[in-house]
Amino acid sequence: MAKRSVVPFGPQHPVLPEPIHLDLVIEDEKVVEAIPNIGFIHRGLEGLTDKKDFKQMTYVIERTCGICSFGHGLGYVETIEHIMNAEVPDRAKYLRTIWAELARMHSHLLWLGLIADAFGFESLFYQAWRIRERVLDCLELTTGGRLIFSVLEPGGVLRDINSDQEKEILTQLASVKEELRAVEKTFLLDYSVQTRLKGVGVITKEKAHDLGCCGPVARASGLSYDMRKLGYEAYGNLDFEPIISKEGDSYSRCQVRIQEIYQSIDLIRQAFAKMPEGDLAVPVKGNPNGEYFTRIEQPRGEAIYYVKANGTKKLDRFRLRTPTFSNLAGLCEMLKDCEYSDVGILCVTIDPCISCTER
Amino acid sequence: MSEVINPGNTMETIPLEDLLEEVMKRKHQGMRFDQACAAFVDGKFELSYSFSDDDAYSFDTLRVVVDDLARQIPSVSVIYPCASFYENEMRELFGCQIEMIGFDYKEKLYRLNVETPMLPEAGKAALKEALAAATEKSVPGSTVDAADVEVETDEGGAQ
Repeated sequence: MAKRSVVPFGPQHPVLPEPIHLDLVIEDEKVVEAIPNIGFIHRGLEGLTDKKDFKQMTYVIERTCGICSFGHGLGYVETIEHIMNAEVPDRAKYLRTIWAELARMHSHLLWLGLIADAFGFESLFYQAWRIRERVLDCLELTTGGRLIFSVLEPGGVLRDINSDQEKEILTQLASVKEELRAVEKTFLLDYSVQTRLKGVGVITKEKAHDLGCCGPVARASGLSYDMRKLGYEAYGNLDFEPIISKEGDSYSRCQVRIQEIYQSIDLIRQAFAKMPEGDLAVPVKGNPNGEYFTRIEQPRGEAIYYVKANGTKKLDRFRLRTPTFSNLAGLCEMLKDCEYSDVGILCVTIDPCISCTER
Repeated sequence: MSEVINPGNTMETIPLEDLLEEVMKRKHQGMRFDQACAAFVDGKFELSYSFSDDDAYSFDTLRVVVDDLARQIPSVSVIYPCASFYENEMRELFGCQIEMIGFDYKEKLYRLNVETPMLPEAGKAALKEALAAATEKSVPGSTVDAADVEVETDEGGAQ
């Protein structure tokens, strides 16, 4: 029997976008077991409920992460609106959907760059991030921010998208689609890329379900749930089906995310076509009293927002369950029996967001 | 338009004794473990365990209210191993006395220097008192405050 040794991996590592530490039990070049450790950037944002009122918390929660910021704000205001029975105007619902899908696109394009960097394809990394710039430009044009948008408030949105901005977004999206077609070929058909991704880090449908995986990680293993099917915001009026793949390997996870970018472009077009005129927000008076769980589909998967309010300005409890927290168990499973050289890629394939996870 | 599937959320409050049985039922129904979290409200722990059915998109939450802060809470990680992370978080942030967690980080999941940071000061004092009372109960005749007990370490020092 080969000698076992424990190799520390992270929290600082060239391939890791955020700090996570793994204790890897290695036998020759094979990983036998992986024990994850987090806790390097815990900020206690959930605890700020005793210092900030429920409206200020919108901005705190948006700042949980630079990539999922819009989704975090959205999940939170939806929860507050549900507790307070606030009926958000239809136009605001469509605007929220458009921004949520733009955020999904920029998150997935960021991931494509990171995975290209992880398997050592620098020019592909630059190509993916170059395309992402177009999406960030659209977000900046309509919200004023590239990562933190601050356009949400309980009851609606703070900004509108005018017809000139709509035209500009649709033009940019056409370019994104065209450019992504070219880059997609390299991601999915290039021999060297396939060598690094195909059959690597397989997680079966049953395992993904048992371990509570969500988002593109679960859908790449054949689980078809996508929280947008709940019909929140304008999703109930748009035509789409969850994108799934069956192999459950790193290649499938890449495939699902690329297809989801095209899906987002389609959803944004549908949303613009169906968006009605009208108010941007309704006034929300008083303080929330009650509790509710909201689920939304963030770019990285299902996120859960829990609010317990007591009728005062300050909440009893706010809780955010992030997709990465749910996918950590899946990561440990993927790492079992993998080659040591694949550890970096596998960490990236769950699209880990440790800032969100540690809140 | 695609079909919207939203059966809404359900929440059921159950006694702590029934927790494992109810969780096991959901496991047998093929439900996915979605999340667990704690809250400290009116001097009690409120624990929420949520499960979802991925075909029906249902979201069921089991609520357990724990009055005695020192009460041992069974870990559901024996049924859903992925619950370990959530239970470690509940114990580290709130001080919930969850026992036998499958993958136990010994209150170092987040590597915090502050004990039970999500508990208000009154809650911290109540937890300390409850733990001391529980220790005295388990050691009849003992008059030593559990919080003042110094634990000998391997190096001979005190923690």
